[in-house]
Amino acid sequence: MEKTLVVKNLALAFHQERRPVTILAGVEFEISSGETLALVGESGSGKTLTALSIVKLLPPQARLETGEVRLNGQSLTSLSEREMENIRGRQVGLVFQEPSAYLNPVFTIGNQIEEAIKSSLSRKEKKERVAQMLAEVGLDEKHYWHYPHQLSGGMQQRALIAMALINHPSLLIADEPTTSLDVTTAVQIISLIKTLIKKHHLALLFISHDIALAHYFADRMAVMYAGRLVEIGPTRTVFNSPRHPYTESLIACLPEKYKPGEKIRAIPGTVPDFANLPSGCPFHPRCHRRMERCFREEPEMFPVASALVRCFLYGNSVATEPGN
Amino acid sequence: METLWQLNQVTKVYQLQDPFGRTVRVEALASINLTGHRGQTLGLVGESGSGKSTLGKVLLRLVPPTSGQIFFRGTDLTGLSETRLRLWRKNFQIVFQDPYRSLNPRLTAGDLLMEGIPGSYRERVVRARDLLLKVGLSREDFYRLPHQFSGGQRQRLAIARALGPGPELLVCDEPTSNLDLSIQAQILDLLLELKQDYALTYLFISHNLKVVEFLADRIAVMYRGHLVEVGPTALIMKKACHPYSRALVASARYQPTRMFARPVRAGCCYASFCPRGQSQCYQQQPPLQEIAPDHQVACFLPEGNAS
Repeated sequence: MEKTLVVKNLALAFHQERRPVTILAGVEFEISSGETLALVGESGSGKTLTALSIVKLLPPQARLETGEVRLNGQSLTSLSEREMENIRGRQVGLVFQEPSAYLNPVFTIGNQIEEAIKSSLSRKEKKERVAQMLAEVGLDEKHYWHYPHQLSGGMQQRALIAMALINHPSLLIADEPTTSLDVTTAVQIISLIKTLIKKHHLALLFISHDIALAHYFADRMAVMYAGRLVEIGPTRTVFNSPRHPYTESLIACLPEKYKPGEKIRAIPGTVPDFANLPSGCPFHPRCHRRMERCFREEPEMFPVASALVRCFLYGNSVATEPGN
Repeated sequence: METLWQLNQVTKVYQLQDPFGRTVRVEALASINLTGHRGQTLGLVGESGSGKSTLGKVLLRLVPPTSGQIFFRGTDLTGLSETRLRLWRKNFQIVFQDPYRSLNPRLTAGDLLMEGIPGSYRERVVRARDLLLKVGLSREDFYRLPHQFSGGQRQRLAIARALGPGPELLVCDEPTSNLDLSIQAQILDLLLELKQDYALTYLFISHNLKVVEFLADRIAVMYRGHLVEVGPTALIMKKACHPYSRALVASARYQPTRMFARPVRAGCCYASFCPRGQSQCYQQQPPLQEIAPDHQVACFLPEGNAS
């Protein structure tokens, strides 16, 4: 069966001033219906740009160099802007970080959700559809008549989820949907999304900087560093036995992995600047298991167990036995 | 355990104007009693708007309390004049969440550090250099401006600056919330190291219970201006008694808690959301009471402790 979303060999560059700056390189993943893929990485790793490339909402200086995006078997890469408008909202729902920024303060919640309906229905049918959607996201009927400022951040996010799902899309992209919310609310929103994914057999691309949250939430996990996927596989495999040194180090940065007073094994250095990527493997300056060739060559994805890992420790190398 | 600082019935009320010019009373701190022990880390957690930061600022008298007393090493800071207070300020310093806004963009790292260090010019330069290295920056960074540093480095600089006067108490107000996981780990390590080397006492304010669990000896939980529970870290994480603390702990483990929302105007600060409310809860705010040694809860029906 065709996967809901297939992203193949995506490469993206920013064209500004003199030379183009490569942002994404060789990004590849698939999501089938009912499945959640978490895209995790630190800020500036290219997570959001990956999501925006899928729906072609890129900033003007960004250009897709290579790659293909297929949604339900249809290639989006060659579509015109007008054709894309039919895809967004209808086939792909989007939820972002700051809910208040995506709601118009002068229209009621119900009004705005109703406006998002793309099929031609009578007013009465639309109203019913909105009421049904409000109930699904855990909002009350009365919230139809409320303005955004009358809702808390969590409720606003619920309204946006309702808006994203009102046309029954097959793919939902959620970019840090809980980052600006309080923890207790965040967990409620996450479990709501989880329920809705199951119910509607949606494919979910969940973007987060929080690898612990992704672990709890996703079926599969893709870890991103400097615009490259460095590891992708089933969540349990990636989280419990990370193969890529970056994934391993990132998980080792979680404070809950330590007893009080223990020293955290932090990753030295900082995330590199895209305009100045290190030679070879972009992670090599911070890597604790780098080899000589990592300075010169960039590794490709090698299969390890059920995962794919972008590291020379796992392929086409000379007798280096990776310990665990 | 020796007491370093103490808040006694501290209240902070802000009088705000609503868009129609009417005065609105916001009680940011409601009669807070809290003690910090010397050499320990006290973690202060709560959702945004719960008054955590206000508590930190009031403790350092950066913001005057509306009523109540602040004791530092047994001296009441509330009664001191600004001039007298200035002599005390070297003993307690603060690190803010956003190092982009809390560092003067026109001063070099060296100047920023030297501002807070007492002594002759020579001594100040030497100590500023030492501090730079101590927080993991390099000698060359002395002449750089804040915008030339990354977020993590800037937070290191903010920490070095706070250490300049040689404080005993350091209030850390969400120092890692803006940072990536890998940088957060570096800063947490640094804070642990500095605590040992300089025998510091921390008040660590954060909404991230997992970070607080890692760093703190004791945890204080705030909700809407009230302290709802105070106790040793392990106890709060395993056997919290206040329903809000429990919801926080569950959320840190990604377990959703059912939230009730009923409009309650009076009574307990958590009554609108509490799953266990009784008639008493809708009439008055329960006081913070000691239910076991070093464990205080503000709840009429503490969970897991029903006698």
